[in-house]
Amino acid sequence: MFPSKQEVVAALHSRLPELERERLAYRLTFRNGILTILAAIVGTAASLLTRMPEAIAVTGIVAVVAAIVMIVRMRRHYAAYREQFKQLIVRGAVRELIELCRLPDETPEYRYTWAYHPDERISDAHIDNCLLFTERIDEISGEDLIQGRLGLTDFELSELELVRIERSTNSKGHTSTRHVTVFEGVLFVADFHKSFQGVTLLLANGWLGTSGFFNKLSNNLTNLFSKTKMVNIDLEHPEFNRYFDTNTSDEVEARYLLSPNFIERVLAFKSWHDEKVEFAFVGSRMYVAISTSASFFEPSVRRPTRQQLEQIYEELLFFFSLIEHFDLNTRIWSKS
Amino acid sequence: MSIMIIALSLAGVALLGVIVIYNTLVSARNKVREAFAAIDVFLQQRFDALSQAAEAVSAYTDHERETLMAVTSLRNQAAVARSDEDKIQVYREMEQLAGGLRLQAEAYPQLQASANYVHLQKTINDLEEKLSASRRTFNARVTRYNTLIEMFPLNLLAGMMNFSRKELLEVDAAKKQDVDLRSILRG
Repeated sequence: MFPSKQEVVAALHSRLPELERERLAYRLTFRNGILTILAAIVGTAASLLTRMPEAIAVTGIVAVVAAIVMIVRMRRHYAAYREQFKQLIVRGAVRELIELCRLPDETPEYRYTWAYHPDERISDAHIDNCLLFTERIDEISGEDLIQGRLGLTDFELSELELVRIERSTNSKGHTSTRHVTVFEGVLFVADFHKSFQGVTLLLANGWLGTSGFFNKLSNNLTNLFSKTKMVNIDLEHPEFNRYFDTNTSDEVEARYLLSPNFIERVLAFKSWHDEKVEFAFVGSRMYVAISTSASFFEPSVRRPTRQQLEQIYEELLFFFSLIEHFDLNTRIWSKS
Repeated sequence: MSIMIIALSLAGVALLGVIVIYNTLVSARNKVREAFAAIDVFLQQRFDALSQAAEAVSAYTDHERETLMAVTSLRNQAAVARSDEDKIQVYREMEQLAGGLRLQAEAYPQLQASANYVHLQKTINDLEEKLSASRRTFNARVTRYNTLIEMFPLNLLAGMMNFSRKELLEVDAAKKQDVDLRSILRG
């Protein structure tokens, strides 16, 4: 079991006042910055009433310089606060959640290890290997890489944003650039508890949740040019088929991975998360792409530090619980 | 002349339709056969694993030799079974045997703790899951095939071309229940 919220808060309690002071200091900087910028705007407006060019010029320059200085100051202060938040709260919560975790049916092989890199993301190799992002990707950004092992299962997760850049030129020769978000959310990767050779993808069924006619059509076209021949299959669960379009290189293997029990677990997970969720089973790993526009593991200066810690605890627990939810530590099958 | 061309065109379209229907049905039937062949392969593998498990159990006491003999007998039956029905019958008997073997092993904690037996049990679990997956695949393909031969206008030609309904592989109610898999290995 994972430690309770109270246990994690108690473990980090001594560090909270320090961060709370920093949060209040930043709020003060922010308030002063906003007041200065407002004063600069009012001052400039007042100088306009004097109709004296010299006064307007001097006031304008002073206002612009003051606004720039305050914006830079606010940004620097926020960056310092954010850095401190990630080190104290996020890193601390990851450490306590994993080191205090005790899973059921523990064996001597169970390990509890972790690493947190606030400015890093999941590797390009995982993004390519999972085959969930088949569109062209021009920009990849991400943060909050968490790696570790819970019991027998190695895992990785990070926030990720994949962007395609589209350039178009109109009849007058003007070029415009558009950034299209291919994926925004969290990519979770874990070692799967069964051994398999092929590829199985659970893609979110599109428009109105109707059957994946366009997915099927697209698959047939893709198959013509692809080395890995994929087939679209329906599983025994109608609700599952409504949410997911199952594509696999091996029909029997797909059903081996997606046992009736596992299908129920996938559906239960889908019910927790309203937005798009897709799964890939590739190279003995399970990939879960959780789309969301919400930003995880970020500070919110409006809320007291303790409340923020509780929020981070909930977010981390959501991801770490996936390993137990999908029963990935049960290794009763031969795994080469 | 033009009537002749129209008649020939219609006959051509009809012939093409028959060819498409026949090929669709043959393809569906072959997919069913392919799925059944996969079951056969996993069955053979499970016979091997069960034989080894039965040998391991019988090494502890002569009383358990009956199980080893039962596995050997079933294996022989499977080897001579020609029809799908016979194979399905052997498959069902083996389901029961596997459950019995597991119960017998529970009487010997030393055996259950041995690395060889744990590995063997993992192999059997793995093969059971694969068997279950191939059975589900078989049933999915049989359902598709049966639907095809009952759909109009395919049903008109299916009867004439000797395409008959196929039976699904039923799953025992006990097998449908969610079992505590951890306890199987850890006693």
